Amino acid sequence: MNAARQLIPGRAQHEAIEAARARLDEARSGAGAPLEAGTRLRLTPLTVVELLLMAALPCAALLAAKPWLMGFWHSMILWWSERLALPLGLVRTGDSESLEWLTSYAGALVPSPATGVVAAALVIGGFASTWWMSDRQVPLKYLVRLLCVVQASALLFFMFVPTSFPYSMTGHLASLLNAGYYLMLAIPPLLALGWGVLRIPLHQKLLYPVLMLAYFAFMLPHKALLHAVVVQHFSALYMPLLYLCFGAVLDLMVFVALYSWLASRAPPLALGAGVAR
Amino acid sequence: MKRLPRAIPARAWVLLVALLLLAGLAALYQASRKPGAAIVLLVPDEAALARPVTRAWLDAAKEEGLSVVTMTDDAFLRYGGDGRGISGVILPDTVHPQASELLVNQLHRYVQAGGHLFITFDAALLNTQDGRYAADQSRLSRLAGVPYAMRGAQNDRPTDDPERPGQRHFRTGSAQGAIVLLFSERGDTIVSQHGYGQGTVLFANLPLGYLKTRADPYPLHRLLSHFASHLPRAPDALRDRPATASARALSLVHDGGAAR
Repeated sequence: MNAARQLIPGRAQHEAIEAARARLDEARSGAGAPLEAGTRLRLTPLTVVELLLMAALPCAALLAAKPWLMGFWHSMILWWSERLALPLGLVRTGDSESLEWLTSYAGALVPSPATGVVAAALVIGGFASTWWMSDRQVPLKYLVRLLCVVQASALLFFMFVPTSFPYSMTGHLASLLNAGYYLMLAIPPLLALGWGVLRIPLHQKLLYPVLMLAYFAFMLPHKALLHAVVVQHFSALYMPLLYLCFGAVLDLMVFVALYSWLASRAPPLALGAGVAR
Repeated sequence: MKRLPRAIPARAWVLLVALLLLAGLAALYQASRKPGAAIVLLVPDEAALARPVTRAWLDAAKEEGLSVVTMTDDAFLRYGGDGRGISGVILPDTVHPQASELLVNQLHRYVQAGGHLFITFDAALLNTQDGRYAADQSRLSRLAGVPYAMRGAQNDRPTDDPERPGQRHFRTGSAQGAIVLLFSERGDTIVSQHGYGQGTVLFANLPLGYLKTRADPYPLHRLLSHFASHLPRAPDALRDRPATASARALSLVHDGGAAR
């Protein structure tokens, strides 16, 4: 068949393109069939009050429960650290408690030459492997390259000025838990705006944010624990990578993923201001 | 000439560069494992080499016939704590008050693996971020086997010995596994020796280098000699000397009863 002839749409194709264009215009104007009159997004005073309560009450509860929550996390981490032989202890300063990484413990905080060589080989191998990834794997390709660049910078730092490394595992764990706590504080307002406005039953509006908060309350100390195990066994060489790529950023990505999964399960007619009860 | 690079696919170039980098790494790793036999005087950076107290330590070592070389913290951390490569490590007073958490950890690993460490006075007492006390007591207390430089108005500042003004030391707690070689009049540990892991730690609660710069070189010379004589692989210069270091260390009691 002539190549130029293939580029000329036939009658059927022309009609299909016109129909698609009409549907696109309709969608842009907001007059589609799924959103009938009365089901458009509309905030009534009652809905606004409901959203404010959805945002404010969990935040107030989290603020009030912060000492208990931190204590729970510390207990959970210490329980595991005893079983995993991690050099962690609890330090009381006045009324506050904090986890402390025992520096004197003869763990491998400083990377040995062998650790450095293995890490460098992984970085070189990981970066080189991205040339064998297909176009469908572009997101993975750039993610791997990003991780390799971060780890390579850590390698160079530890190679030239290791004693200038200013971070401690005590501070690392504290900042992980604090960042996680502040993310939990941000979740209720975000879900109130992104989940509370949907037309779904009230019990679902309340249940899923609670489940999400419970998930983070359980996951955050375990993530900190995983960081501690990695540092204990593979040295502080991986602390920058853990902090930058698997710290607060990972928590945020998990939240986005959970919210996306939740929103995808909402019924098609959920977008509206009316509150289904 | 232009055809050759094009003839080789990009992935082959990547593989070649990766292999070259790996070969370079292997060479660096091999080069990092050179054994040595010297005692290392640990200094925070190159600038500390010009300080009088550093010179005092090196001069004392030279006068005692010891092979002591300086090494920066960065070089020591890069070394990976391989105890087979260093006979002993000295952490000098006055020039090395600050130490990172990594260095403190590395010192513990070094001694645990069989290394020999000589800690003096205020070494590694402060953190590197803001120069404040890094912990409730010196982070090297477990190594020394004696808690010292405890945080508190009465304990974290060096105190003068009432019988010997100018000879300052930290208040200490009771020894925890260490053999105390010398007490002060107040009962504080002045010199002690402690086994930690497979290694040993000599702790001197005196600013030895500072005292030498103030025309009191005796404690530094005696303790340096004592430290070197207890190393399993003492430098050749020391092997000809009689092994009477313990007696010499105890002969520090030359102050007319200020210490017992």
